[in-house]
Amino acid sequence: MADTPLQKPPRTVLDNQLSFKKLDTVAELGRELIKWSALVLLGYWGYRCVAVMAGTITFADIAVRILGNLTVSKGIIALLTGSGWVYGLAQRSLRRRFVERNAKTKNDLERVIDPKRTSSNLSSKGTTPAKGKR
Amino acid sequence: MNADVALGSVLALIGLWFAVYYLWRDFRNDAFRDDIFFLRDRMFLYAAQGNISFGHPAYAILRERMNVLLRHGPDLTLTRFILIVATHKPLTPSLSLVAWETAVNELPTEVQAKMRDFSARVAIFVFIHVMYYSFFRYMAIRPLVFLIPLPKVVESPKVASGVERLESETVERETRLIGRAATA
Repeated sequence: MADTPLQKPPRTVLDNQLSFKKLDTVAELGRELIKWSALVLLGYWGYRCVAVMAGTITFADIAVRILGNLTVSKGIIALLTGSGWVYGLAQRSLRRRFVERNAKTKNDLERVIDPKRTSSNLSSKGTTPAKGKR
Repeated sequence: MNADVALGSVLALIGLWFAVYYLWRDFRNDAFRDDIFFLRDRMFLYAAQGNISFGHPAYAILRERMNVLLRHGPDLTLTRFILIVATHKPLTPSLSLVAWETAVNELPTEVQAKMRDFSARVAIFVFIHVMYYSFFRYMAIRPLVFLIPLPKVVESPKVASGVERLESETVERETRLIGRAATA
């Protein structure tokens, strides 16, 4: 009589968590690899550009050539992009200062009504706390 | 192409890389937190009006769930969402979800509906965050949202179950981390 095949035990919640953790680590590694290899590639291209000009011109020449090639339309585009960055970063800083100033008062008032009020434990500016302080 | 023009393009690409990988994600996290804080404040006011006690498990569990999501916004990614749907076959609903459902069922009908509405809106915000967390995905999906609103997508049972499992996994991971820290 043939042996009955061993039945595969059903997957438990722990099995699921372990599979998830393994795959998540691989995916996280992949993500980091794509992110940093893109920067390395850009760095390499930058190096190649500088290497082409090396020996023939100085850094001052490079700056002069880049600025020399700048037409009015390109200058406007650069100014628009740069001002967008400055505006965005300034707005973010302003919002975080606003959160820091107002959130504490609101939380204190809420604690008067609900003394056991739970907190998100984010930083006073509403950002992710540094690791170890969570 | 002139080397100086190429160098200008490379510097612009490095700026774009920084914007896509850091500034955009920071902004999406802040936007997600703003949405959840808005809901949490609304729920607080609803409780302050006397509709539900602050100590009631339905309120406490949902608030704690929101707090965990606020802390772990950066961990809610599409990769994790897909992995959870693939690896976490719906064996049994999570303990916190069962406890919340039991607590909600004890409430009067209109309060039940309101609490379920808060919970559904949390799921919608989580799904929107997952979808918009990548800049390129945002650029691809955002125009389509005018045709298919994301809240409608979350109504699909498969998506709703996936979002629910992603939320539950985040909450349970935090519980495990706290447990591990306590035993260490």
